Amino acid sequence: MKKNGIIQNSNLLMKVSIIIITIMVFGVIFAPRICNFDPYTVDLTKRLLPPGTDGHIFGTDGFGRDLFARIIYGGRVSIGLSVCVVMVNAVLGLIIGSFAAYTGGVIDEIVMRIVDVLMSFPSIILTLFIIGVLGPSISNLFFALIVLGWIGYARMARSLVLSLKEQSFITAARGIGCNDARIIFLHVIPNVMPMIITFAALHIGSTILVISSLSFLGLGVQPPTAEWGATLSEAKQYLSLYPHMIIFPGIAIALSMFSFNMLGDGLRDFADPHLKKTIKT
Amino acid sequence: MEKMIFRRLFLGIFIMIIASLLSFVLLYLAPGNPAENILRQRTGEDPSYEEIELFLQQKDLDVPLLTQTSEWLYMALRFDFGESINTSEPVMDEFITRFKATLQLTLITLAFSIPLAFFIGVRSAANNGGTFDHVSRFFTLLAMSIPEFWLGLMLMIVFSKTLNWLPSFGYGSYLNLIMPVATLVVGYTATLSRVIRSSMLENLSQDFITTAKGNGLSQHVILIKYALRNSLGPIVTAIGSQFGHLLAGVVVVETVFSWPGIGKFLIDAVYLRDFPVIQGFVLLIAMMFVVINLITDILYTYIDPRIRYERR
Amino acid sequence: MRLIESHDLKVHFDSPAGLVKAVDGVNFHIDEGEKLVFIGETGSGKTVLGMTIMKLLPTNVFYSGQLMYKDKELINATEKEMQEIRGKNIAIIMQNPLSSLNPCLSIKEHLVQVIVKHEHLNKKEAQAEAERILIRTGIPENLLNYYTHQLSGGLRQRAMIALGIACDSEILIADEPTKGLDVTVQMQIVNLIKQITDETRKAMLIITHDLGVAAALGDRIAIMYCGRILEIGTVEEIFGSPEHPYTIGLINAHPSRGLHPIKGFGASLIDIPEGCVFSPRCQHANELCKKAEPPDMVLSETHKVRCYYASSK
Repeated sequence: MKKNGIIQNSNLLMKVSIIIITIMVFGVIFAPRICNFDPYTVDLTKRLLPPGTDGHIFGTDGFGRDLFARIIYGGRVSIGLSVCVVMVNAVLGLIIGSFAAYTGGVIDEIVMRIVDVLMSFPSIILTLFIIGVLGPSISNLFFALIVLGWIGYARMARSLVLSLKEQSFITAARGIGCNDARIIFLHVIPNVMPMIITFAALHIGSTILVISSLSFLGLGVQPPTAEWGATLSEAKQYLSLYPHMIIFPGIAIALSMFSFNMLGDGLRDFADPHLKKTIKT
Repeated sequence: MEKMIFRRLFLGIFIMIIASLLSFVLLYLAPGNPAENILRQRTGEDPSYEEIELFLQQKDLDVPLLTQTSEWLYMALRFDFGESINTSEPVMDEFITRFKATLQLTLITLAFSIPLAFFIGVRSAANNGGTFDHVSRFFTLLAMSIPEFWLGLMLMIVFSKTLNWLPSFGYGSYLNLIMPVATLVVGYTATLSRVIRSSMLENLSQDFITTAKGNGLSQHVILIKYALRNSLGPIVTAIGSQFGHLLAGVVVVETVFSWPGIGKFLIDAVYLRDFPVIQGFVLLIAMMFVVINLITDILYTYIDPRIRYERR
Repeated sequence: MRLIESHDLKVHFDSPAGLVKAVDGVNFHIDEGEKLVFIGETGSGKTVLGMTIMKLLPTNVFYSGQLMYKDKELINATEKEMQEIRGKNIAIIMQNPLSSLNPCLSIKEHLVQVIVKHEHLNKKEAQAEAERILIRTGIPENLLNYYTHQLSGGLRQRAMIALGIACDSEILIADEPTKGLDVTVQMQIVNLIKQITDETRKAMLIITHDLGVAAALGDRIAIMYCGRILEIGTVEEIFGSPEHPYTIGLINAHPSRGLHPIKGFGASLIDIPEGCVFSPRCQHANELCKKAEPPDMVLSETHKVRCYYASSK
């Protein structure tokens, strides 16, 4: 009975997170239709308005720009960029990892050594290093996130492919004359997918954090581009008198990270065979 | 055992050398000019060509890249990373001064986080599927989703700007420590307690727990002597590998609260493109990372009798 | 004196695939000093039965019927009450000693934990007692502080037995005590269990699929299939005049009788066959067998068979 309770509960959390994510994605795609104001129009007569005045739901910032519009458009950058980073990394990592495991030998050895080297640095340090050398910008941040991001997928794909290689149904597939490409697409990828999707959901959450943190520090997306971290960075100087400029972008980041984390957490419960208790008789 | 330590140290040194070489290659490919950035920062206007040339000569930056690289490596082996272009202080001296501040912040955070995380993680696992578990899972996930820089700013709004209880930045008094530590504790405790919970749950589903129950041992003994005892190894490893995560938080928190630690200094250096500092700090932090992971690996072998005896 | 008595005991699990009827209406009893063996294939519900007496099943379980320990009802007993009974009154030897022992405790520490809990001795006395018991089960004195992974399979099983007899319980449940052991070691373990329990006249419930173990250890044997007892009787009755086609099949499948397999597969505990549960595999089954489940036919005071055609074949 209790067990059912858990499953239903994590189902509920997942449903909530999926609803929030769907709303956010729609909001981001249809941003121009939702917002009454342009996020980049400066109106110095309307500086620092509190939330709710003159149709500015979240108020305005130090340049009189509509904060609500800046957050919605900021989502385009924060979520959009994170999704791009994760997709590129997932594809890259999957190809590298499964290729390395499938061919084995020297190629596998080289890939794993590169992974070792990259993993021996704390990721934040390597990111700061790359941005420090190449200069702060959105494209360099993207590059830094790609240099490090594929590792997780490659390791996962590699270990899964290695274990699948040993399993009987793959041997059976070979036995009835399936070629390598067919095996990869028909048997390996479907088996790998649940774990990859779980990992990717959590990865989107953490990427949103990295992008907004670095943008907040002035090392990622640069003002005046609307991005949550950058918006917060601009709002810092109004901290004591106009806290609404701090509160709303922060809630946007926390809410999006929370939904992706919750989604990943829920998916993991389904994907993780450990949690599916079998009854011994 | 010794073999493992040597192998890891060797790998560490090898990685350091590769990384330093790569850093110079990247430097060569990098656009922009550090001298230009620093001079602009100092005077507030674009420097002239002559000013840049003079600056480069003063800082020995006009020699060929290969010479720069080999000289730097030679010096780095003796822990001499040159001088900061910006402050003209030796990088190593800067690192030691800043490191003390960071260490203070980190150790206090760990002193609060680790016991708290154990409490939450163990109770949550013991209560798997119950109210405490649900509530703690929800809140740890929430805590993990709050960016440190935002939490720091919010604390500042509440406690320094509105209530006027705490100084919003500065270094020295214990009052200055409260908000940065609180910010770090929230995120780190959440992450660690989830690791502890899942490791505990994994062990609680093992057969030896059923045996312990079958022997009539109490819930408390089973939880501590059986489940937690077996979880310690993975938890110590997790604490080691979460070091990178903690460091990311430290970098952000130091910047938000103007805490004069390595994180803040590194961010400033990245901003100014102060290459000797970036290279030196990155290398030193990576070295610490290698050492910490080595220590946790050694600890693991002492905690887990299965590995302790295999190695002999 | 009657130690364990069950009446129409049912143990069902709620699973995603449906209701698993692991034990479905079982009647048996164990008297003082008596050894009852449950024999069955994998998935016949025999391990669940052992775990039911200890109340060690996962939370998705439903019990019904009656299960008494002396005059104590176990089905409604609280966890706290069970903690006092487990190890002290009813002890268990689990299967798979390697995974059933804590890898971070030495075998001596395992016993010390139990003895401290139930015998209220101090640490030092408990250690002396633990050493005495471990040596009694034939573990060399210099290995007492070893960890599970350092011991051989036979020694691990001895440690499990030591853990089972640590507090001199009235009943000892042994779940597949010879599983996974070399044949030579199996005999040693069976002899050890027999010797120790005979000395103390301990009642036992033995769960096994090995007829040899059953014959060597048991006073009475219950044949389990699909969560039911199909036949129960003394060792002589079961081996001398088996009545149920399944019992006969089991005995004939034994290597010494020429390895005649029973055709078909063990029934699922979710889709239980209609009528007699063994009818899909029974060569004598007719329309009646497939429609209604037979009642227990009483052949003697000790011998009962759940088959319409008992003693008529």
